[in-house]
Amino acid sequence: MICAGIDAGSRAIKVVLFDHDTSRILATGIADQGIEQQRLAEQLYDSALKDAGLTRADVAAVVATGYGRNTVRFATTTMSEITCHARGVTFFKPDARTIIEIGGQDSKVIHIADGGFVRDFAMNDRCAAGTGRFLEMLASRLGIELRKLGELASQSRQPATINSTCIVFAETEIIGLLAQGAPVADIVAGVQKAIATRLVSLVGRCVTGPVYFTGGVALLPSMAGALGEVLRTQIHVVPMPQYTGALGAALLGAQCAP
Amino acid sequence: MTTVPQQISLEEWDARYTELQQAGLHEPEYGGPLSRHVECEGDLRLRQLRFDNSAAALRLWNFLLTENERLHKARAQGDLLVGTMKDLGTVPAMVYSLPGVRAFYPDGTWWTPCLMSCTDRLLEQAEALGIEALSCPVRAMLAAFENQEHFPIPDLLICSVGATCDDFSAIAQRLAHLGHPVIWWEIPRRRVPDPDESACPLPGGLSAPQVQVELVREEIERVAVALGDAAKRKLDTQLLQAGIRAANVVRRQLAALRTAVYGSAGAPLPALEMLIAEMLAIHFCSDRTECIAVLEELLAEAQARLAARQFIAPPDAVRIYWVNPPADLRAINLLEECGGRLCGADFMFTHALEPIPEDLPPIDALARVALADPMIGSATERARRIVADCRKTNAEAVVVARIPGASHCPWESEQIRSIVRAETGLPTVELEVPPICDGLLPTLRHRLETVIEIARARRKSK
Amino acid sequence: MKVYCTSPWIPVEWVCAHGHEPCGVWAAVDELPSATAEGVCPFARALVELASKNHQAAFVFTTACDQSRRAADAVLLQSHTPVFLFNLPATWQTPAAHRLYRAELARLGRFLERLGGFSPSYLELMLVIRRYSEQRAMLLDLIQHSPARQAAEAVMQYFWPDHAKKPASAGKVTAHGVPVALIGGPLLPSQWGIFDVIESAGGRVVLNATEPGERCLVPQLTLSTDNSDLQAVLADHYLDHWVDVFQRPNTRLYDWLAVRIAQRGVRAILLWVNLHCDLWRAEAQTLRNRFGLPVVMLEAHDIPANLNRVTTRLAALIETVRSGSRPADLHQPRKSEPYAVQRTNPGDSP
Repeated sequence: MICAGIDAGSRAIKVVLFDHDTSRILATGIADQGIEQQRLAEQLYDSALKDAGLTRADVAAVVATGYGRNTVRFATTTMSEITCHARGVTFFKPDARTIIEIGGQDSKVIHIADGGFVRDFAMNDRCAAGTGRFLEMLASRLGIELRKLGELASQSRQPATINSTCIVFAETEIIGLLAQGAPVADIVAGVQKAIATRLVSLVGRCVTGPVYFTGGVALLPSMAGALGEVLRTQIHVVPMPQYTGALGAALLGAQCAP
Repeated sequence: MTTVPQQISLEEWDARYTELQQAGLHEPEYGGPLSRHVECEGDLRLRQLRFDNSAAALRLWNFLLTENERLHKARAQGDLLVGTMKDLGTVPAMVYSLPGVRAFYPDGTWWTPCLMSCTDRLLEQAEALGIEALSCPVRAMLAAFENQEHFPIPDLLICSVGATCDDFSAIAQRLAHLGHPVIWWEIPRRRVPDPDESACPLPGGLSAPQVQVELVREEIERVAVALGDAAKRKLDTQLLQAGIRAANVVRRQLAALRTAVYGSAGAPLPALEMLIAEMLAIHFCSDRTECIAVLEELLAEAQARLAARQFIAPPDAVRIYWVNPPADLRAINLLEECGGRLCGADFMFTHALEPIPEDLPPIDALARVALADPMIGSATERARRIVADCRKTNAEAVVVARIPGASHCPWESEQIRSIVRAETGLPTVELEVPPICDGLLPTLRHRLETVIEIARARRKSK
Repeated sequence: MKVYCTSPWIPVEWVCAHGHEPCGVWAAVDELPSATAEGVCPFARALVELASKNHQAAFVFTTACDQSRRAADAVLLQSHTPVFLFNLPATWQTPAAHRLYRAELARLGRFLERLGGFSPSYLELMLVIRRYSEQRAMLLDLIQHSPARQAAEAVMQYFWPDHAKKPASAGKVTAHGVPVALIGGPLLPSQWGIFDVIESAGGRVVLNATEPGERCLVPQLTLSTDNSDLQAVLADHYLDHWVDVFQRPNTRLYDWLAVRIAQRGVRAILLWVNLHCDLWRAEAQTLRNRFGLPVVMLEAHDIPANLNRVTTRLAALIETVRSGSRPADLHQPRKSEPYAVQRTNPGDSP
């Protein structure tokens, strides 16, 4: 049985085709999100099907998740990202007990109970200072590519302190630090630390390990380290961190396939 | 011991310390070079500050920075420790009336992140305990109770509630939920007496209805009983009177210092040291006797500099009245750097600077002092007091510091500024100062320079 | 004259007995301002705007929170609207707290008289107290058997009978849906869409402990012929029974919640908060620890502006609860934390 998961995020759409019989990922796809969300989702879905040598008729169920999930009208059903990320991560790492997901526009902490169920969760979906958006702003301000931030951060000796919980005001602080000649590496490390610090209130006092890190921001080297330092625990990055939501959706498709 | 007044860095203080030692410096047992607070305790923020270069300032800083050690020693020798919260000055005057008991303000921890440059991440730990980043930096106190790496856990916690900040009240309640028993006592919102009510005069030229004084008197009596029970000695009238007289020695000493420094043409001492000195009035930094000695030495230094016409800020520096303490001490260093000097301040505890009446029954006197707290009345009343102070001190501009997350600031700041502007015509500026203001230094500097420039231009136009 | 009461702890019967029309302010605020100064509670800001425009009415603010206290200052500074700032005691265990509340009630009475009201006779006061008390008793019973939205409408009518701004919904009680508790601060009629959103997501509000919700109705007060001082009886009854987050300690709130959460099988808690509301926000972790239930924060200003965000959170919560997971060992409910109570009269009880 083949199911599809579509994670219609606010910054990017991801799709995963999963074969439940062989327990294999058949194809993946990612595209920037846009205004015509339904059309973009369909295009990406069809493209993934083509890569896998499949047609829509071969797919038993399509599960949509993410903020734009209701725009994916051809989906069989929708599920929350919490459930989907939890499922996706535990597929790779069944021992996961805490999942941290940082995307372009939001961040989540998911606590997993024995048996792989979601026990509790916390979300930050209103403050960009705890999300990838902060890193995008930083890269733009520094005039460097996003993917180079990780390498820069690793050169820092003393991360700068960024107080603001709002990236608009944080940008003022960054400009101030640059004007005073603060090393760019320290500023980058400071921003990573600020993002990690925003997660502290979501994680709470007791961190139950193993802790897995997923979402687009997990692709950035050194971000896991920054999280680990702030949370004082080891953080592991899951495989395919951008796709765990879509994968989880595809896995859950088995529950609603005819 | 006088020398050319200067503000110097922590590194420069090492050399200065050697000079002072060679010149025969006598220090109390908590003395030593300032840099040890960085090396041994990780107070990294000290590296960013600029300090007055006098021996008196050295003693002041060492006194402040060794408070936790002092409290631990007091605990080890069997003293009872009372953590008092929010009332800022009243309960410690009672506590120190009892032998073998010390009071301190756990909320003072809000400065610890700034002093330690977040090395032990108190603010993050507070978030993990459920107090969000949008809250006042005083949330650091919660983390300090949890990690027990700062002050010893007090034997008794006494907290005023009612007309208090929401953020502090919430944090104190969280502390209680985490298992720390708290004695709560009510402080009402001070109001102007209605025409049909008896009015009661308070220190500082304020007044309150008699019924409010009676309420607070009853609450303070309850606190006194609790203290007496804990200390196993009744806190009677005699003890309280002696305690009040001793607290007034500190207050008078501080008043003399303020008069000497704020009233002079040039500033003999910098704003930062004056801020620290004023803070001592609240709880004597856990040693009332030593507190008096520290203030005496500061006053002597100020007077010597005035006599020698040696100033930290020249006579033509713009006279600034400062409202609210900054969360990052670095911000107040900017005052002299930008061409200003402190001529007066309301750091949120002006009632702790007034002498406690000695001609009234002690509980009554303490009740009136507690009710004179500038933060429990209206912003208008507070602003009017600031206006009066500005006139007395010939202020040329007013700085209102905002504490991010403090519930009173967003309302009060604008109300105070508009009343000050309307009644004095003085230029005012608001500075939002987070716990580490490095990134905002250019912004803060720009604002200060602007208001100072405006003040200078007003001088020329007169 | 209309007298807008900004807190449920200003006895509406007291205002009514003095010849004025009590109006629970929640129904008067159409929507929260979309932009407020950093640090300013939008609800408090809305009250300032409302009060500044309504010179023909009076407003009773309270000291329940710093935001409200300072909002009153702001109104006094910028308008001629008659304002009374009622000093609600934060403490509750002591005779001093009782005396404060009684004195404030008396002072409010004098304020109401100056506004053209009158001092009620014993009989007049007794009849009004009885009427409102019986109404509360009926409401407390009705709430248990009504859909959340209908119950909220009924409670709002108690606090302002003539408000009738929002038509009552035709919702029916449903036995389905994950039982949730909605706990927190002011919930305006313009935000009652939250009930629909919760139900659409698969939840069912079985406990509305927002303001003004179930927790804002003190129990019935039975008057006896021995009660010579009705004002004191009324004051003591309110102070002995109100439950709110600003009380110190606020253990009474938790005790009240504990009973109802257990009785009604609540599976999750939705914490309804305003931006910059320190008092309620700080309780999230304690609620989690005490009841061992998932707690999700709902931001008041997201209704109706950001329904998508709210829907996502709710959907995730309901899925979590339905997935069959039970609260983990890490979140064992804690016993009531100790607090120091100074009772000067042994007979007093919390």
